[in-house]
Amino acid sequence: MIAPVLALSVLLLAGLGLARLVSARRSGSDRAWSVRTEIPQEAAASPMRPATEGEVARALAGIEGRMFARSPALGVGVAFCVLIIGVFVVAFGAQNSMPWATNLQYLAWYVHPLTGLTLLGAFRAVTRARRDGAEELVATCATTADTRTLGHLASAWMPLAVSAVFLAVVVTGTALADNLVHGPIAGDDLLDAVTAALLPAGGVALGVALGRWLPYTIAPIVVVASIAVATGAINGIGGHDWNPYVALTTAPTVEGPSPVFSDRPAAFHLLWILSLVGLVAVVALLHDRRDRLVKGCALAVGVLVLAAGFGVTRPMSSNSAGRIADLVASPERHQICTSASPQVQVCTFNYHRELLPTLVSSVAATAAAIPAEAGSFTIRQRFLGDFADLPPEVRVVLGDLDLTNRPGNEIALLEVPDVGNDDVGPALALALGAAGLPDRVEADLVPQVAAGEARGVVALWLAVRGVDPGGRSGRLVAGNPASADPFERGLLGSVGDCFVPAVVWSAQDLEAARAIVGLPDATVRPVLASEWDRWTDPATSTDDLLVALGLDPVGPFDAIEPQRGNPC
Amino acid sequence: MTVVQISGLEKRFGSVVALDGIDLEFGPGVNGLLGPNGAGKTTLLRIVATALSADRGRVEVDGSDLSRGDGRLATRRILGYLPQEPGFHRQFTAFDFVDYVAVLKEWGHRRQRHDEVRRVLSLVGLEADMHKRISQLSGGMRRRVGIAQALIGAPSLLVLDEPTAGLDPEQRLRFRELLGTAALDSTVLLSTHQTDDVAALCQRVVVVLGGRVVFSGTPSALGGLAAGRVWTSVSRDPDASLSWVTSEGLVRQIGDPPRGANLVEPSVEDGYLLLAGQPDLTARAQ
Repeated sequence: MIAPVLALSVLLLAGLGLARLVSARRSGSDRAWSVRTEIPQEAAASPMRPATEGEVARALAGIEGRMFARSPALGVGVAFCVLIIGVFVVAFGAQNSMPWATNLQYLAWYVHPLTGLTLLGAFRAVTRARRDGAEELVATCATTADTRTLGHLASAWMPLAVSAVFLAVVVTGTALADNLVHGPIAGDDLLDAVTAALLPAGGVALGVALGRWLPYTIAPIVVVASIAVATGAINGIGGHDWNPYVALTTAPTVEGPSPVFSDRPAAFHLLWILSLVGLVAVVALLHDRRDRLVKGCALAVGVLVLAAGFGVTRPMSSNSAGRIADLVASPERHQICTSASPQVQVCTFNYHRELLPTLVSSVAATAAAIPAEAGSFTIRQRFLGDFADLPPEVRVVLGDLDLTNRPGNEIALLEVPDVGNDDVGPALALALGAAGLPDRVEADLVPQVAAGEARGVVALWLAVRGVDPGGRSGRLVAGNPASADPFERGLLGSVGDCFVPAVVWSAQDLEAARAIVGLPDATVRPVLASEWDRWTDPATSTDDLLVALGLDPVGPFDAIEPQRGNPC
Repeated sequence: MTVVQISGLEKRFGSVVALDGIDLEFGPGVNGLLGPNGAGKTTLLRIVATALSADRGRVEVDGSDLSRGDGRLATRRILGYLPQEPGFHRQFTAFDFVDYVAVLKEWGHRRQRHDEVRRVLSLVGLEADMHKRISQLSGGMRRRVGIAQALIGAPSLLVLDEPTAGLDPEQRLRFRELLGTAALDSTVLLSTHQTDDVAALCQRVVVVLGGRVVFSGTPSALGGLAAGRVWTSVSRDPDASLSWVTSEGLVRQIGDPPRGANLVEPSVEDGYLLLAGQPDLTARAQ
């Protein structure tokens, strides 16, 4: 009984749809004016009074905002937003272990494609009449050009709404993802998010100003490219050293591994961006209106820009400098620690305390495998950069402190390790330290060669204790095993900018390590524990260890000429 | 009732004299402007519509001097203008476009404005197509969108530059009907090449040639200029100024008729053609 009724309903709906389609097609043709027999005679509803400038600007903002929503430029901008959400929230959101502060700083970068396309959309809206040949019609209406400019500027509500929704989705998605995003959200972090959300208003203001002053098709492209170049240039001042000018850009360089070593002028940066937006908006208005009010506004925002510019590049306060200096010089006073094993303690700054359990868990297996003879170790998060990375005010407080002077049993970590990504980095650092090898490369960026040394293989065995047995060998493969260069065949990972692995092995050592991790733990542990000093002695060869474990030797070993990493 | 007063109006574009000392006064009703291409009709209308400034002379609309900013604003508040090539925002729907112009005409109140937009679109028969993008409309429909925007608020001064270009005969008929109604309360300045539009619509016609007014009067007076100078025959007369074959197969001719010619009742078009082709008659008409 139900089936025929459904079939009839479907047929009815299909018929209605077809009728609607045919009707729509017909209406596409030149519908005759004479279809009506009478011209409507109702009188025009004349307005009681002409709308004020503000009312017209608001009405124009409504229309222009809706047109913005239909513009291809905003469409592409939204597509970029979707892409960013797809990549950074959906695809790689689970691997995010950055603090909230860092995540919120990245919002400014995320919103830039939308801002650039908003600029283009606003430019095209302002120059629409010129492009379509409707300038004369528009000019002969009672609304003045400056009111139209105000309407265009006020149309920023649409991209701002898009930006707010976009950033809300990014933040919510980040919060809901199963990741290691952590840390408090301070007032400055919220200001960073607000600044990012407001950037499309700057795009609109600049697009409108360009449309008024330089209504040439190429203008927005040149300006966007120029801003990108200027941003790169400002962010790049001083290379990787401390740069007080980054906050002058709309996309400041995101602070390094930990926000605890910084004191960003977030409020001044917001004021800087707002005043720039205001200045550009006033410049747009000045094209058609130069009365005292607009000139006064120009003067006021000019002063505000200068004040914000000074504020954003201001010297750091002595309080902040002292706090950061203490974090650098005495990290233990600001940290929380816990034991990963009787011999291994793990400490992070309080700011990163939420990562501590995961960090402990990532090194626990390695820590448990370190023989008692090896002694005790502390994995500590600390500032490991150069003095030049610090603000000058902090450097003054630190004086001639030697940043490289660290306790011998300390495994130092600067970066909050990507422990959520099954990363063996912290475990490898601990293993290297336990085996008497450097856990990080020194300032000369030259890795230590451990080719043919048993301690290098011991470190590798220790490092993969936390990895599933089936996957351990896979972690001990050179980044480029087929390379003709012995150095590359013995290197786990690869050399990047400012990065070189701390130790380089030979291909034979990696082969030996893979063979040893294939043995039962019960076979290897007693051998290592019984002669720990021997196996960590640089004079003991990998082949000695293999033989002791009942495996075939793999020597002779490649002679490795260590390569220097690319400086920052 | 709006009155447009023009005195000593001059306009040049480089070395080209577009308007050369125009003196005119337009009152309520439909005022037609006739003239060949480049005669100065559009320039005259653009100046009255405040789209262009004059080099010399004075234009006043209801006493407001268009050389002053407040005069132009006052005029724009009572003006409905259809430029020769209005230029449409193709991505807008017809409704959005007219709504946009309504806002520019200081219609701030949304509901009131939308009622007015629907009214004018209905006047031009686009009520069923008002939510289609302009890029999807035919040329004639776009012209009607242009007419609709000019009618917003029932302006007391309507300046229409070739409004019937692109309209089919049926649409032109409707336009005449519409304009006839609008002109009951407005001063309409209409530029056209369609002399039958002038004959059917205009209470007054002005012929512009070479930037000068060569005739100003009623359509019948314009036609009257050709009285006794229009005749038909079976063959072309070499002495005729103009001649063409009519639908009846006869040759209609304008000029100095030969003795015994079959004189016919002159039309507005005959008067205009005679005026345009004979400078001496132009002088007489002035």
